[in-house]
Amino acid sequence: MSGYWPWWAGALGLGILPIAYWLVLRRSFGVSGLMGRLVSVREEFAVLRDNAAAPKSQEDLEALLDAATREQFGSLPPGDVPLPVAVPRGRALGARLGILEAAAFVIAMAGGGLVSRLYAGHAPGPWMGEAFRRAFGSGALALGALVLGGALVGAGTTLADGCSTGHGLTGSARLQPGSLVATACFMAAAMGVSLLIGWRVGL
Amino acid sequence: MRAIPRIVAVAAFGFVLGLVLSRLGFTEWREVHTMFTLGLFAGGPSASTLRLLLAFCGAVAIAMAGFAVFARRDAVPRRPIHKGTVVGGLLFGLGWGVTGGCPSIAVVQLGEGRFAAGASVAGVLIGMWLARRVTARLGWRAGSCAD
Repeated sequence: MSGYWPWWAGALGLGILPIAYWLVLRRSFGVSGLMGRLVSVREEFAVLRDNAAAPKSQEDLEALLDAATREQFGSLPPGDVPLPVAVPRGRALGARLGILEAAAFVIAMAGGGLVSRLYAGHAPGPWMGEAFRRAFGSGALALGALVLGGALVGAGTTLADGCSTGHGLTGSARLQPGSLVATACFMAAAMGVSLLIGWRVGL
Repeated sequence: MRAIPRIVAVAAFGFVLGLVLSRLGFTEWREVHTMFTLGLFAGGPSASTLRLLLAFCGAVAIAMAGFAVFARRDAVPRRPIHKGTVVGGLLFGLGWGVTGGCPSIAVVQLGEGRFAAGASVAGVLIGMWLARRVTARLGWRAGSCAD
């Protein structure tokens, strides 16, 4: 697809995403973590069930605590006992996103690609282009390379706890040591593979 | 932010990410490799061959400035170095070099109609599932702090 956006428009779009995501959802923006929800279906549905059973309001929660206290001690302590609660400065982390949100995110992301394709007006073809075909062909070997390469991506991002958005974009922008190291590692490894391909078959 | 259901907000972020990645050319295998090789096989480094790298570095700079302005007093989600950081980063880079897709790019490619990317997405999910089983057995922490 030609007619790319200029780099600064992309920088603006990609740069605003993690900030807006934090301000709206109070979570750290990262795609691999969300996609990881989709492979632990049983655990994620257990979380949904627990959330459905959890008390919905402060009053419900206090009523439950009172009942538990009565059961344990026979009576409630006289008066209101103030609890020593540390009030965090600034905005705290928001509630964890579950499997339904993750699925919506992934589907919408594919939708973004579809709209981009309709906007461009021509289909990109089912494969990865001429340079990829020179390196891996367009048969079983190519599909195998995609599955195996994809598995490395999935395993690597799980081990490193983040991908190009979680570490490369969000974590690097917040100068987190784990993110800076992970970003340096995945960029170096990808550059190595890319140089090898360019040297052997050209790009 | 109770007015907009969270699932709608999350989907909007996904949509924007997919659209921007695609319109920038991040879903093009050759463009991604031109970025990784700094344009070495496409006429040398220039504003056009370094386009994606500029977009990415620019995005990090903008995000950094944005966090400094809008999230100055907020709790920062910590991303420490741990056992999987280096190994995981290297494996991810190897895979990205082969498929041309990080987890998001592979999904966007599929949305564009590059059906071969379905193999990449399937691979990513298989890899995530396997790595979770292995890290659970090794007692490593994984997938705990990133969204």
